[in-house]
Amino acid sequence: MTGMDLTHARHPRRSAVALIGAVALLSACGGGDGGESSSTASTASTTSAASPSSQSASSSGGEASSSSAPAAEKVVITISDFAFSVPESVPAGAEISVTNNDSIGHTVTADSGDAFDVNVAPGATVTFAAPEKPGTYAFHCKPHPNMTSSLVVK
Amino acid sequence: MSRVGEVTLRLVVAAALAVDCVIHLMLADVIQLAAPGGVGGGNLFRAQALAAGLAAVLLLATGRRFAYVVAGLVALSAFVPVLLYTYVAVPALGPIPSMYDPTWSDDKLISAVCEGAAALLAAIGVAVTRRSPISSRPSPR
Repeated sequence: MTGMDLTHARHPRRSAVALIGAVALLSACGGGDGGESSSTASTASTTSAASPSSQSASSSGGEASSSSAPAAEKVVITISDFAFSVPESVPAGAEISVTNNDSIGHTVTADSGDAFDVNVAPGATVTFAAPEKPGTYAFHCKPHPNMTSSLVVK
Repeated sequence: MSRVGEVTLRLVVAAALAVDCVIHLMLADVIQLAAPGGVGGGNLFRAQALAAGLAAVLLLATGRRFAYVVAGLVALSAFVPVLLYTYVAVPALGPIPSMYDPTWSDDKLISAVCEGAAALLAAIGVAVTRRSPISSRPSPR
Protein backbone atom coordinates (compact mmCIF):
# COMPACT_ATOMS: atom_id res chain seq x y z
CA MET A 1 0.00 0.00 0.00
CA THR A 2 1.38 3.37 -0.87
CA GLY A 3 1.54 6.42 1.24
CA MET A 4 -1.22 7.95 -0.85
CA ASP A 5 -3.44 4.99 -0.12
CA LEU A 6 -2.78 5.35 3.56
CA THR A 7 -3.87 8.94 3.48
CA HIS A 8 -7.13 8.07 1.80
CA ALA A 9 -7.80 5.25 4.21
CA ARG A 10 -7.33 7.40 7.27
CA HIS A 11 -10.95 8.26 8.01
CA PRO A 12 -12.27 4.70 7.85
CA ARG A 13 -9.53 3.78 10.22
CA ARG A 14 -10.62 6.40 12.68
CA SER A 15 -14.10 4.98 12.54
CA ALA A 16 -12.73 1.54 13.16
CA VAL A 17 -10.71 2.81 16.10
CA ALA A 18 -13.78 4.43 17.59
CA LEU A 19 -15.83 1.28 17.11
CA ILE A 20 -13.29 -1.07 18.63
CA GLY A 21 -12.63 1.39 21.40
CA ALA A 22 -16.31 1.64 22.21
CA VAL A 23 -16.67 -2.12 22.36
CA ALA A 24 -13.56 -2.48 24.41
CA LEU A 25 -14.53 0.24 26.86
CA LEU A 26 -17.53 -1.81 27.77
CA SER A 27 -15.26 -4.54 28.86
CA ALA A 28 -14.06 -4.52 32.37
CA CYS A 29 -12.51 -6.69 34.97
CA GLY A 30 -13.86 -7.45 38.35
CA GLY A 31 -16.68 -8.96 40.29
CA GLY A 32 -20.31 -8.40 39.62
CA ASP A 33 -23.72 -7.24 40.52
CA GLY A 34 -27.13 -8.14 39.41
CA GLY A 35 -30.13 -10.21 40.01
CA GLU A 36 -30.29 -13.71 38.72
CA SER A 37 -28.14 -16.57 39.71
CA SER A 38 -27.36 -19.63 37.74
CA SER A 39 -26.80 -22.20 40.36
CA THR A 40 -24.74 -25.18 39.46
CA ALA A 41 -25.20 -26.89 42.73
CA SER A 42 -26.93 -30.14 42.75
CA THR A 43 -28.87 -29.53 45.90
CA ALA A 44 -28.96 -25.80 46.15
CA SER A 45 -32.16 -23.86 46.35
CA THR A 46 -32.26 -20.11 46.13
CA THR A 47 -34.57 -17.82 47.99
CA SER A 48 -34.97 -14.16 47.40
CA ALA A 49 -32.99 -11.73 49.44
CA ALA A 50 -33.73 -12.46 53.01
CA SER A 51 -32.65 -10.55 55.99
CA PRO A 52 -29.43 -12.06 57.20
CA SER A 53 -30.17 -14.21 60.14
CA SER A 54 -27.64 -12.39 62.24
CA GLN A 55 -25.10 -15.12 62.30
CA SER A 56 -27.21 -17.33 64.45
CA ALA A 57 -25.29 -20.13 63.00
CA SER A 58 -26.53 -22.93 65.10
CA SER A 59 -23.50 -25.01 65.45
CA SER A 60 -23.63 -28.61 66.23
CA GLY A 61 -24.06 -27.90 69.90
CA GLY A 62 -22.27 -30.86 71.24
CA GLU A 63 -21.11 -34.19 70.08
CA ALA A 64 -22.69 -35.01 66.82
CA SER A 65 -24.09 -38.46 67.09
CA SER A 66 -25.24 -38.03 63.63
CA SER A 67 -26.47 -41.47 62.88
CA SER A 68 -29.53 -41.45 65.10
CA ALA A 69 -31.58 -38.44 64.10
CA PRO A 70 -31.52 -36.78 60.74
CA ALA A 71 -29.63 -33.58 60.95
CA ALA A 72 -32.28 -30.94 60.70
CA GLU A 73 -30.29 -28.21 62.33
CA LYS A 74 -29.90 -25.13 60.27
CA VAL A 75 -26.58 -23.40 60.15
CA VAL A 76 -25.65 -20.18 58.44
CA ILE A 77 -22.66 -19.11 56.40
CA THR A 78 -22.54 -15.37 55.88
CA ILE A 79 -20.63 -13.61 53.14
CA SER A 80 -19.76 -9.98 53.81
CA ASP A 81 -17.00 -7.79 52.44
CA PHE A 82 -15.49 -10.63 50.44
CA ALA A 83 -15.09 -12.91 53.46
CA PHE A 84 -16.87 -16.00 54.69
CA SER A 85 -18.21 -16.23 58.21
CA VAL A 86 -18.51 -19.91 58.98
CA PRO A 87 -19.63 -21.71 62.13
CA GLU A 88 -17.00 -23.71 63.92
CA SER A 89 -18.58 -26.95 62.88
CA VAL A 90 -21.76 -28.29 61.37
CA PRO A 91 -23.53 -31.61 61.73
CA ALA A 92 -23.25 -34.03 58.88
CA GLY A 93 -26.07 -33.54 56.45
CA ALA A 94 -27.23 -30.31 58.07
CA GLU A 95 -29.01 -27.77 56.00
CA ILE A 96 -26.65 -24.87 55.52
CA SER A 97 -27.98 -21.46 54.63
CA VAL A 98 -25.61 -19.13 52.82
CA THR A 99 -26.44 -15.43 52.85
CA ASN A 100 -24.57 -13.07 50.60
CA ASN A 101 -24.52 -9.53 51.95
CA ASP A 102 -22.23 -8.26 49.20
CA SER A 103 -23.40 -6.46 46.11
CA ILE A 104 -21.78 -8.98 43.81
CA GLY A 105 -22.21 -12.70 43.42
CA HIS A 106 -20.14 -15.36 45.14
CA THR A 107 -19.92 -19.11 45.25
CA VAL A 108 -19.29 -21.62 48.00
CA THR A 109 -17.29 -24.28 46.21
CA ALA A 110 -15.46 -27.20 47.74
CA ASP A 111 -11.80 -27.20 46.78
CA SER A 112 -11.82 -30.84 45.85
CA GLY A 113 -14.48 -33.25 44.79
CA ASP A 114 -18.08 -32.27 44.37
CA ALA A 115 -19.04 -32.07 48.02
CA PHE A 116 -20.81 -28.77 47.43
CA ASP A 117 -20.85 -25.95 44.93
CA VAL A 118 -23.48 -23.26 45.23
CA ASN A 119 -23.82 -19.85 43.64
CA VAL A 120 -25.13 -17.03 45.77
CA ALA A 121 -26.39 -14.01 43.90
CA PRO A 122 -26.00 -10.55 45.40
CA GLY A 123 -28.22 -10.22 48.45
CA ALA A 124 -29.59 -13.73 48.06
CA THR A 125 -29.76 -16.68 50.39
CA VAL A 126 -29.08 -20.20 49.21
CA THR A 127 -29.30 -23.46 51.08
CA PHE A 128 -27.44 -26.69 50.57
CA ALA A 129 -26.86 -29.88 52.47
CA ALA A 130 -23.63 -30.40 54.34
CA PRO A 131 -21.67 -33.48 53.34
CA GLU A 132 -22.64 -36.67 55.11
CA LYS A 133 -19.05 -37.67 55.65
CA PRO A 134 -17.36 -35.97 58.60
CA GLY A 135 -14.21 -34.07 57.88
CA THR A 136 -12.82 -30.68 57.05
CA TYR A 137 -13.84 -29.34 53.67
CA ALA A 138 -11.82 -26.44 52.38
CA PHE A 139 -13.79 -24.23 50.05
CA HIS A 140 -13.45 -21.05 48.03
CA CYS A 141 -15.34 -18.60 45.87
CA LYS A 142 -14.86 -19.29 42.17
CA PRO A 143 -14.89 -15.69 40.93
CA HIS A 144 -12.72 -14.61 43.86
CA PRO A 145 -10.22 -17.40 44.56
CA ASN A 146 -8.64 -15.48 47.40
CA MET A 147 -11.86 -15.91 49.36
CA THR A 148 -11.27 -19.16 51.20
CA SER A 149 -12.47 -20.91 54.31
CA SER A 150 -13.27 -24.39 55.50
CA LEU A 151 -16.30 -26.25 56.69
CA VAL A 152 -15.85 -28.70 59.54
CA VAL A 153 -18.42 -31.47 59.38
CA LYS A 154 -18.85 -33.59 62.52
CA MET B 1 13.83 2.50 15.60
CA SER B 2 15.28 -0.25 13.51
CA ARG B 3 13.11 -2.69 11.67
CA VAL B 4 14.11 -5.45 14.06
CA GLY B 5 13.28 -3.26 17.03
CA GLU B 6 9.87 -2.43 15.68
CA VAL B 7 9.06 -6.04 14.94
CA THR B 8 10.13 -6.99 18.44
CA LEU B 9 7.97 -4.27 19.89
CA ARG B 10 5.08 -5.42 17.77
CA LEU B 11 5.46 -9.00 18.90
CA VAL B 12 5.62 -8.04 22.57
CA VAL B 13 2.51 -5.87 22.36
CA ALA B 14 0.64 -8.56 20.46
CA ALA B 15 1.73 -11.18 22.99
CA ALA B 16 0.53 -9.04 25.87
CA LEU B 17 -2.81 -8.59 24.16
CA ALA B 18 -2.98 -12.32 23.52
CA VAL B 19 -2.48 -13.03 27.21
CA ASP B 20 -5.18 -10.50 28.00
CA CYS B 21 -7.46 -12.22 25.51
CA VAL B 22 -6.89 -15.71 26.91
CA ILE B 23 -7.30 -14.70 30.55
CA HIS B 24 -10.53 -12.83 29.84
CA LEU B 25 -11.89 -15.87 28.04
CA MET B 26 -10.84 -18.13 30.91
CA LEU B 27 -12.50 -15.92 33.50
CA ALA B 28 -15.66 -15.11 31.58
CA ASP B 29 -17.75 -17.93 32.99
CA VAL B 30 -16.92 -17.31 36.61
CA ILE B 31 -17.25 -13.56 36.27
CA GLN B 32 -20.75 -14.16 34.96
CA LEU B 33 -21.49 -15.71 38.36
CA ALA B 34 -20.19 -12.65 40.13
CA ALA B 35 -21.75 -10.11 37.81
CA PRO B 36 -24.92 -11.60 36.38
CA GLY B 37 -26.78 -8.30 36.04
CA GLY B 38 -27.17 -6.12 32.97
CA VAL B 39 -25.37 -7.48 29.96
CA GLY B 40 -23.41 -9.75 32.28
CA GLY B 41 -19.81 -9.58 33.33
CA GLY B 42 -19.06 -12.71 31.35
CA ASN B 43 -20.21 -11.12 28.12
CA LEU B 44 -18.12 -8.04 28.83
CA PHE B 45 -15.10 -10.24 29.37
CA ARG B 46 -15.76 -12.05 26.10
CA ALA B 47 -16.07 -8.71 24.31
CA GLN B 48 -12.77 -7.62 25.79
CA ALA B 49 -11.16 -10.88 24.74
CA LEU B 50 -12.46 -10.42 21.21
CA ALA B 51 -11.22 -6.84 21.03
CA ALA B 52 -7.80 -7.83 22.35
CA GLY B 53 -7.52 -10.71 19.92
CA LEU B 54 -8.49 -8.58 16.95
CA ALA B 55 -6.14 -5.80 17.98
CA ALA B 56 -3.28 -8.27 18.31
CA VAL B 57 -3.94 -9.72 14.87
CA LEU B 58 -4.26 -6.29 13.32
CA LEU B 59 -0.98 -5.21 14.85
CA LEU B 60 0.84 -8.35 13.79
CA ALA B 61 -0.50 -8.09 10.27
CA THR B 62 0.22 -4.44 9.64
CA GLY B 63 2.58 -2.97 12.21
CA ARG B 64 1.18 0.38 11.30
CA ARG B 65 0.66 3.32 13.59
CA PHE B 66 -3.08 2.83 13.34
CA ALA B 67 -2.71 -0.69 14.68
CA TYR B 68 -0.64 0.54 17.61
CA VAL B 69 -3.35 3.09 18.37
CA VAL B 70 -6.00 0.36 18.38
CA ALA B 71 -3.81 -1.89 20.51
CA GLY B 72 -3.22 0.87 23.02
CA LEU B 73 -6.90 1.74 23.27
CA VAL B 74 -7.91 -1.87 23.74
CA ALA B 75 -5.25 -2.38 26.39
CA LEU B 76 -6.34 0.76 28.20
CA SER B 77 -9.98 -0.27 27.99
CA ALA B 78 -9.09 -3.25 30.16
CA PHE B 79 -6.34 -1.74 32.30
CA VAL B 80 -8.33 1.26 33.51
CA PRO B 81 -11.42 -0.74 34.51
CA VAL B 82 -9.45 -3.41 36.32
CA LEU B 83 -7.85 -0.77 38.50
CA LEU B 84 -11.09 1.16 38.86
CA TYR B 85 -13.15 -1.86 39.89
CA THR B 86 -10.45 -2.99 42.29
CA TYR B 87 -10.19 0.22 44.25
CA VAL B 88 -13.61 1.83 43.75
CA ALA B 89 -16.97 0.19 44.38
CA VAL B 90 -18.49 1.43 41.17
CA PRO B 91 -22.24 0.73 41.10
CA ALA B 92 -24.05 -0.71 38.12
CA LEU B 93 -24.07 1.77 35.25
CA GLY B 94 -26.98 1.07 32.94
CA PRO B 95 -26.37 -2.31 31.33
CA ILE B 96 -22.91 -2.58 32.85
CA PRO B 97 -23.08 -4.46 36.14
CA SER B 98 -21.13 -3.50 39.18
CA MET B 99 -17.93 -5.50 39.08
CA TYR B 100 -16.22 -4.36 42.24
CA ASP B 101 -13.55 -6.84 43.27
CA PRO B 102 -10.94 -5.65 45.76
CA THR B 103 -9.01 -8.91 45.60
CA TRP B 104 -6.09 -9.77 43.34
CA SER B 105 -6.01 -13.27 41.96
CA ASP B 106 -3.02 -14.49 39.98
CA ASP B 107 -4.93 -14.37 36.72
CA LYS B 108 -6.16 -10.87 37.41
CA LEU B 109 -2.68 -9.68 38.27
CA ILE B 110 -1.11 -11.20 35.18
CA SER B 111 -3.83 -9.76 33.00
CA ALA B 112 -3.47 -6.30 34.51
CA VAL B 113 0.30 -6.31 34.09
CA CYS B 114 -0.04 -7.36 30.45
CA GLU B 115 -2.68 -4.70 29.80
CA GLY B 116 -0.54 -1.98 31.35
CA ALA B 117 2.53 -3.12 29.48
CA ALA B 118 0.64 -3.35 26.21
CA ALA B 119 -0.73 0.16 26.64
CA LEU B 120 2.69 1.59 27.42
CA LEU B 121 4.48 -0.24 24.64
CA ALA B 122 1.76 0.55 22.16
CA ALA B 123 2.22 4.23 22.97
CA ILE B 124 5.91 3.80 22.18
CA GLY B 125 4.91 2.08 18.97
CA VAL B 126 2.70 5.01 18.04
CA ALA B 127 5.53 7.43 18.62
CA VAL B 128 8.05 5.34 16.73
CA THR B 129 5.89 4.72 13.72
CA ARG B 130 4.94 8.36 13.52
CA ARG B 131 8.52 9.37 13.16
CA SER B 132 9.63 6.63 10.90
CA PRO B 133 6.96 4.51 9.30
CA ILE B 134 8.02 0.97 9.68
CA SER B 135 7.35 -0.65 6.41
CA SER B 136 9.43 0.39 3.54
CA ARG B 137 6.69 2.45 2.09
CA PRO B 138 7.59 4.01 -1.21
CA SER B 139 7.40 7.73 -1.23
CA PRO B 140 4.39 9.05 -3.10
CA ARG B 141 6.74 11.01 -5.25
